[in-house]
Amino acid sequence: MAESWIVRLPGTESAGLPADVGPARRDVTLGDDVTSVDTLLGGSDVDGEQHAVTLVVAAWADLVPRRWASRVLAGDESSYEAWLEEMFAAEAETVWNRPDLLLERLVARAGSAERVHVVVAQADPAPSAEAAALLQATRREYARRGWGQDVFDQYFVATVWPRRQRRGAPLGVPERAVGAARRLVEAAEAAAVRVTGARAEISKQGPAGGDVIPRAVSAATGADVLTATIEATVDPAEVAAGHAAWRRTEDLSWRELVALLRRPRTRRAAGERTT
Amino acid sequence: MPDIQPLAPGTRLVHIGPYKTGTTAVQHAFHTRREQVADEGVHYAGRGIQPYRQVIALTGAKGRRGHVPADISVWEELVAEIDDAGDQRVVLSCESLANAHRPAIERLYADLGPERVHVVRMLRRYDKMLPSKWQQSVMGGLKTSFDPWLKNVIADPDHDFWFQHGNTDLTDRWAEVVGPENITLVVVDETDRDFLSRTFEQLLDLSPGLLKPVAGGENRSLARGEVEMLRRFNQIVTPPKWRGEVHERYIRFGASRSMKTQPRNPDDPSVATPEWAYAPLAERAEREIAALRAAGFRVIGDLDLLHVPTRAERPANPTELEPGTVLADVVALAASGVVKAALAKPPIPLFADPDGSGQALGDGAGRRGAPSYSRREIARVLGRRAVRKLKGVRRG
Repeated sequence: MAESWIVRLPGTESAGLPADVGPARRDVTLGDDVTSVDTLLGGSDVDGEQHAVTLVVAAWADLVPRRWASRVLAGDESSYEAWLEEMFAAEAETVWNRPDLLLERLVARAGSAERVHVVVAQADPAPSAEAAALLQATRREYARRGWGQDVFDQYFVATVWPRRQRRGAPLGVPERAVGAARRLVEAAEAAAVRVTGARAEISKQGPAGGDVIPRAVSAATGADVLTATIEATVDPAEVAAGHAAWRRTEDLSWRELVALLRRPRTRRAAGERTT
Repeated sequence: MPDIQPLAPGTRLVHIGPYKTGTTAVQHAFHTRREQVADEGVHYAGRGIQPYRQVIALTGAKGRRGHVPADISVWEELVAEIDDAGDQRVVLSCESLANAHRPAIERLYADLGPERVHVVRMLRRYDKMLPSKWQQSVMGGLKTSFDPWLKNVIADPDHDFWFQHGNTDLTDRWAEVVGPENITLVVVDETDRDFLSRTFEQLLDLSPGLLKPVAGGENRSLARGEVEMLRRFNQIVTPPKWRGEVHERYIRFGASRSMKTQPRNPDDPSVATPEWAYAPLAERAEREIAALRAAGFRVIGDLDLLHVPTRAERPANPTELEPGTVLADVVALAASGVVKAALAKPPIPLFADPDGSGQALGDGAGRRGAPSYSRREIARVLGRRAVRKLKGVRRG
């Protein structure tokens, strides 16, 4: 029996889809290798039926840096540079380097280009270059100290990363990544695959020269990291209560503050005898 | 370096620092080689690297942020320990003695035995010392950047810096009590790493090389980016909101200590004295060098090394970091120092109660939901609002 499949690139898991993409029998997220599509969908075409496939993609400039970051957050120790080298090597058959091959496989699975639909979705933006620098340096430092993922999760993933990942200019991608993204656009045009969304978005340029992780961050960022790390030593509820208790002073009106200032001193503070 | 006449057996050698003159390396060497030093007739007073708590109890100083003051009895116990050393030479080394006012100096002099006390202090060029002192203050919680802090120091003859470090201020304060003949001035030679250890070896008649600095014993200065990060941290985590103990545990013994385990990256420059400060410092140094010479103190080293040049000499470094930035690796190292400190001991409450009692938030029963604020805090909030309003009026 014919099925409909949704096949997502890593990073598009939570992206919204157009209304005409109905519920799918299978909704899978690919790995980095093109062959992951076979692993994920293997056995589903043995019935010889022709399936409708929706491929969900987004801008390489957003997806590629975020993919590296998510891997490092999960425990990978590769530097951005080394990971890019691996993903975009000339012969690399990764979904990032050869999305055209991926599309070709999906068309073969669907039995016809008419049954393949590419959706250009809006994914989470790339993390900031500063956050990426902190991520890379922290992963390396924790590994040097021999600390496990649990420590990394508590003191970085759950605390520093959420408050830093969107602050500052985004981490970019190298030109070869943009070139690889264009292969998908060209392959979709050549095969007359239906594309929904702004196809130019797929191969949009990242910030110029932003594909290199900066070696330095602002001192204010460093200070915020220290603050977040210290806050991670206690229960988040204690942190929330602490900030709330102190914020109340700021929240008081002029009139309330002046009234508090005029309140009588306590007996001890006023130096009265208490005996 | 010419030979130095050793001090008489039984001498109580009181090393008063001051801060940032190489004291940590010397103290570390004494502490780690206590037994060898004792075998040669010298007792190093206290049990730790330096008897900080005992000296703070003596001087009555506030101590660094988060320090819990001890009773004077801890000083008295130290005095008893020193007495027990009898005719051995004893070294009492603590740079916090540079904070001592006259009554504390008089008590120390009386307690250790006036006939036995000999004071040694280090002297270092002001243009080298001031950046170190500022960054040390930042490590203790200072929020002010270097330039305005330095302007204040130079303009104010009563500033703490001169009290604690002044070539003549600190020396004269001690000399008035112990007598100039019982003071030795040691001029730090920045080009000779072993100079201080050799000086102490000779003063105490120890075997050459016994106090040679050990790896990791030195207290390197923080680089510009490193210290700027801590200063920004101080601006965020402003007491009284966070408890002083937090700074002590996670910054002083966490982040700062961790950063210092690695050599300074040459691209992150040292904090440098600005050009404008050289002339007034040079003038002051010249006047003080003449005064020290005239007073006839025993001097080890060359007093002329204390002259401050009238202009800065700084080699260009094309890969130098932008001011206001810090290496990502350094941030990671500092944060890992916080984590290391957190993993070593049970967590401590971070926030103080806004009532100004100094208690941790939540310690006071029944106050939750009905906080009362200190007058100082209210005045501060009112002041901030007034400034904002004034700025708005000016802009409008």
